[in-house]
Amino acid sequence: MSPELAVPRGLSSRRFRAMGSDVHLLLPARHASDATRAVESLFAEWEEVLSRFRPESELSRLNARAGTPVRAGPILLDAVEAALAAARATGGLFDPTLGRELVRLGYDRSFEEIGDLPSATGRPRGGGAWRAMVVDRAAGVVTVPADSALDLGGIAKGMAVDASLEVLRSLGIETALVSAGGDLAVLGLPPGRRAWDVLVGGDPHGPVVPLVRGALATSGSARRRWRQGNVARHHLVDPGTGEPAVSGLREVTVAAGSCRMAEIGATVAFIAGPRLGPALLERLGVGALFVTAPGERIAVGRWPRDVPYAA
Amino acid sequence: MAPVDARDQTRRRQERRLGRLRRRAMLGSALAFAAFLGLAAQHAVGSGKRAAAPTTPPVARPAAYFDQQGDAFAFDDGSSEPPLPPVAQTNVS
Repeated sequence: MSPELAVPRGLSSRRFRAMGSDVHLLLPARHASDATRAVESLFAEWEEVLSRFRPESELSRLNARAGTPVRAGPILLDAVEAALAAARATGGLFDPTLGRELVRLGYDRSFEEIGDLPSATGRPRGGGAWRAMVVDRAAGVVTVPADSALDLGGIAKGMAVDASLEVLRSLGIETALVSAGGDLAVLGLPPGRRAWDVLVGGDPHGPVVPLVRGALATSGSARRRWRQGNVARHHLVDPGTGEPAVSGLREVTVAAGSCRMAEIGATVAFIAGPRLGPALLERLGVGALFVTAPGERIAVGRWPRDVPYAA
Repeated sequence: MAPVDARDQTRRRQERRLGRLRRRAMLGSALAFAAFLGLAAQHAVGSGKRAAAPTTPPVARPAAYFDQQGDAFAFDDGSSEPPLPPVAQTNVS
């Protein structure tokens, strides 16, 4: 069930589909058409480069030639470098080299095309291949370790949201919200309001937080899930086991300065679980809301308390 | 010779144990990194407005990938506005 969403005065709401997600924009009404075209074009370009499901994408060609140096364009280089830095910064809890595990688990096509699948073949190998990746920025060349594959899905979407705000800013737009699936970032404030009231997570009656600046990202196991044989699967793979993370959490939402950082934080916190995840995020200086499997909500760091819930 | 089922169970137990160990090692590494960030932030606070001295962290350069500035994101902390329907939803990715 979709919740009722308001459109602040003076803004226009636009939607389109990209990177496997519904993209939602709130833009000044007078700029809405041009700005939507610019953001839609940006998402199309990023998807063309970074999709794991398009054989002609730069990422697919890189994965197909794992073990050999492959020339990469600026978008792929940026995304790979960001993902590797996140892997280093989180001790490998964020691991962009789990592409083969996702394929083994059946996530080898756009999520909408996954039906019930036969049982998995092959054993899980877990992560860590990112440590052997080589990026030569000056030469514009990336080498993925042999027998490995990159998956940049989550971080790519977060970075596309951040890049969209940059494009809107360059068009002279001072007020905007860009949301793609679980990733959302804002620019300025809605006219006459002190904050962007954002409903957090998959519950249509969940908490509504007053975001003034920055970004939010929600990661969870509720939406992108499927069955493989008799086993329920989801897309957040624990690099320690090579299997979907079983962490006792339903979802995690992180507030950070950029969507890229919020996305990384939400992913690693989900994998780390309700005991270690909050300590990790609090020390990293981000705010977060954990929702445990039984439904308990745990606010961490500078996450707002006593917020209203959507009707 | 052990039956196939017993061998499978043993292998699965070993794989689970290995997975737990790897996960613990990663969490330890991540927490060590987080502790470093905490120390860097304390240093910055203790030295007035001077930025923390550039240091080589044990795992990575922190500044580029996690927020350390308190104003990088913000929530309104005392709105007197009447509640409205939300304007957007993060959903779940």
